[in-house]
Amino acid sequence: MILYSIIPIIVTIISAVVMEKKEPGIVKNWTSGSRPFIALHYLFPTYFGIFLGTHMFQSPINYLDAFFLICAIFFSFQTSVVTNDINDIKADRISEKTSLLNSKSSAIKHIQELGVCFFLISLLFAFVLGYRILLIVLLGHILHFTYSSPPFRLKRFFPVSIFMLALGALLAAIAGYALFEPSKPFLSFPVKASLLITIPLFLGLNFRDLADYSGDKKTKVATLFTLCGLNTGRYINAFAILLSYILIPLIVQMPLFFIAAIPLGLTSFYFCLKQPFQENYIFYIYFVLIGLLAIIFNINPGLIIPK
Amino acid sequence: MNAHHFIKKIEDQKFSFLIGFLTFFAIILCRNILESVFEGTQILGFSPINSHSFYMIFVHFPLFYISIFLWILFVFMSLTRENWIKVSKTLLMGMAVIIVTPIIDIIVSKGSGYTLTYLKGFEEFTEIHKFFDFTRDLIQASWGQRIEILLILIGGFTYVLIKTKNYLKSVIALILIYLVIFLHGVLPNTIAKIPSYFGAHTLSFKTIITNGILAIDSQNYAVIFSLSIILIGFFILRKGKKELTKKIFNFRFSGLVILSLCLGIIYGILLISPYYTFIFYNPISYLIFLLALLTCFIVNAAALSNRASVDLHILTVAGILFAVVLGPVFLIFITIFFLIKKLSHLKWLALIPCFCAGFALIFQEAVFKTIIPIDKKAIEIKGRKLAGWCYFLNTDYEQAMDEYTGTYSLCRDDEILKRIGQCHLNLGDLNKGIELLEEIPEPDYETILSLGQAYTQKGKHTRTIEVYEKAIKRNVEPAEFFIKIAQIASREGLEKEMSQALEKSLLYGNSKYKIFQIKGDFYLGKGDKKKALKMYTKALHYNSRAVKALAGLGLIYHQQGNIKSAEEQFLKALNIEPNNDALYNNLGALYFITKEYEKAEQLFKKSIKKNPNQTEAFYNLGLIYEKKGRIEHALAMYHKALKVNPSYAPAQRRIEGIKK
Repeated sequence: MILYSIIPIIVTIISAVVMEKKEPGIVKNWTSGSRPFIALHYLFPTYFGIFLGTHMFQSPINYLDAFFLICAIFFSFQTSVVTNDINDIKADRISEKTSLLNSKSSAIKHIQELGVCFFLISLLFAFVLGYRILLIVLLGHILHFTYSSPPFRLKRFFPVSIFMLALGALLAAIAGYALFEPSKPFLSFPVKASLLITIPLFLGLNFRDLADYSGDKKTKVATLFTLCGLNTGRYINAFAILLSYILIPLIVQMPLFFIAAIPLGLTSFYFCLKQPFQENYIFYIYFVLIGLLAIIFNINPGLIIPK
Repeated sequence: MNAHHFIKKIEDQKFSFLIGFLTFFAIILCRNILESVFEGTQILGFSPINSHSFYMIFVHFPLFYISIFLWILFVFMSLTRENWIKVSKTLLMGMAVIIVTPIIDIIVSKGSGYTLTYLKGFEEFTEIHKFFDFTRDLIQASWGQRIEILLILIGGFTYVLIKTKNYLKSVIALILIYLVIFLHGVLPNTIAKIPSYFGAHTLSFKTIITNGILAIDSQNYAVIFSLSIILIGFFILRKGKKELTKKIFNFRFSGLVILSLCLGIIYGILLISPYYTFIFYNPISYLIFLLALLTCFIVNAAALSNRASVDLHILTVAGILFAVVLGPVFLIFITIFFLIKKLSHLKWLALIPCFCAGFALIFQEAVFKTIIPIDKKAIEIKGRKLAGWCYFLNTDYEQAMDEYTGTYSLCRDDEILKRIGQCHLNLGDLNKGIELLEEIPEPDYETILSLGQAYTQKGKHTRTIEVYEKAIKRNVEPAEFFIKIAQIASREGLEKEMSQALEKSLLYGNSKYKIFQIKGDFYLGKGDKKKALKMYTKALHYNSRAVKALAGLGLIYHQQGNIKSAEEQFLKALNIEPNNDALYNNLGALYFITKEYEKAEQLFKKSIKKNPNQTEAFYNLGLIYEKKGRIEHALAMYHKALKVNPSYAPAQRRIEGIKK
């Protein structure tokens, strides 16, 4: 395992060197445009999956495995960012959105190559962890590919697009859980945990489309905002986020958690309506929620782990 | 938006051939992974991790769907006279329905996982009408598969109707699409049965499909689908890209290449034939050679194509897919051949890897040791291993053991030791088999399974549990082995141990029906028929094909004296699992009670044929012989039962009874 582990790391370093040589500054451009907050949103479910696995199977965490899985998921997400940017180049220009392609001078060809590198690196990290983890990561790639790329380009269809993002997060959690459950992780993954990931994200992720509003409208991508109009969409989005926070104590069956969920939900609600809209505040509140849940689950894992 | 407009919108989408292919491949992979995730009897990735699983997910099933896609594309092109690119775009969108199948099946099985079965042979054509009888369950196909096919048929009918406005053509499309799907389902097995149709029974069907020179059944299936793709691809290109077919089959440019490949194959056959002669009896061997030749044509044409042209993309994708089917070593040599042709000025050098690719077809991974016949030992090892495997699959365990023992004297390999051990077990020599299997330092899934079964047959249940627990500690298929431990505990009447194992197996995502089946067995063993009946009914609620639950119900009815219902349950179970030796034994026992001795005798014999280590079947056959007054035969059977399980008391009692 240790010997094989070196391979993806070496490939990552070589890829970075080769890409930097092809286009100086491309790695730096990528780091600044790699959407770290959204990447974290995929990594939290992975930690959550690992947490569930280690408690359910009473097996200690292998930190090297966990690190490799996080790398696999991270690069899988980066592949999806590149695929999305390439296919959204027109919409991003209209929305004046900063992406790897339209704000820097990188050539499409080089960005495509970067995407291929991310894809291979993510598969290599997954492969080191085993064939079944590879299959789960591959399923994630398929999900993102059909989400962003033609002919399907499912991101055009609301609410399928949001559901797919929530499903992507669930997949990341199952990947973490599969480090401990090699047989049928999809069937044995706790239902409560699945609901905790998918329902709040399905309700709360619409705000991501707010910044792309003008581009989406021009390129006929259906989002909550292009379908309901910008103003109505904002209100629906704010209420959906509030609802997503309120549902969490109900899903984990812990009424006491309303004390935290309601104020956090109301703050998110406020920032969703505040002009000019600033996406980062929503993420900060989301991170506070995750932090609180992490503390609660660590104190009482029985809240989320089936008896 | 009307249907015309909708189709036009799809046809007008702009994306490259590679993106289209990747999308289709992604859909197929998604379907395969989901299917392996949700299938009740399997685990994520279909089978315990080995190359079979890889070939099933990444090669065999994708080629199956690509072939179906191309045949339907051809049907649409012929009936609508539409451009192939436009039709393929629409079809690509339509084929997304294949993802629905595992989702439907998991819903139908109430989240418990379902059992997949596949069409077995051309003879099932007469049962075609059952496929659309949605009032009943069909053993040959799951509900998801049936709904998927129905959706494809409706889609095909509608598409042709929209394009042509001709009902006759639409109905023709419907029939042709159904035939395409049906033939794809039965084709590989039908090909494997060709020798038996001509009266040749030297090789069994299983041996043919699993023991080609490729050795993995999944690869052999893939060969058949690859040839189907080439055949239909040729017709489609003749309609849409005629110049490409000319480029592929240009003997002026590919004559020497083909010749060197053939020389490689012949050289390989000459080296291996003293040890392995079955190669000539297997129809799939010839198909493999044919595919290798066609792959060479394709790769050669790809090497002659312009950079970044669509032709190059089509040929490269096809070349890689077919080369993977023929094995990783073939893929390596054919890639070297391509690179030399494409990049080097010394084109004749490309003939060398081409020759090696032909040779690699026969010797696969052993090619580097055997291509220069200095290492005669390596050639003998490869040949005898293949022959041994062939005999093994053919259930000729004595011959298989001879071959494997000969190979083991040349090469001390755990894989060979495993097979020798399994041969001993299959020949009824449990002690020797166990001794050999225990020698393997890191036993794989198959070895653990054989070892566990052997200990169970010997009645050493504690040792079986130890073997399985060791496997679980090494993380070798824990879900599977927890279930097996629960089964043993249930048989032994150990409720606490059974419950613990079942709880653990549930944690690993095991299907609920399996849990209820085992609980049913436990209560039946305890004589609590009411509770057993409840458990079996619950198992059947989750999976109507739960064979053990059906058999359990059969036993309950039998004990209640309801012979007709019992017979019905056993027959139902046998319909689902025609190779289950225990079911034949149980049904035989039923006929024994009703004094239908002839019927019972046949069934016991069948049971022994399916599993020569069946203690009960030997014992029951002895009872029949005793009833018929054939005491010598009866004694022989009791002794055989005792050979399998020396502590089997009923057989001992009968022998003592006869002697008195």
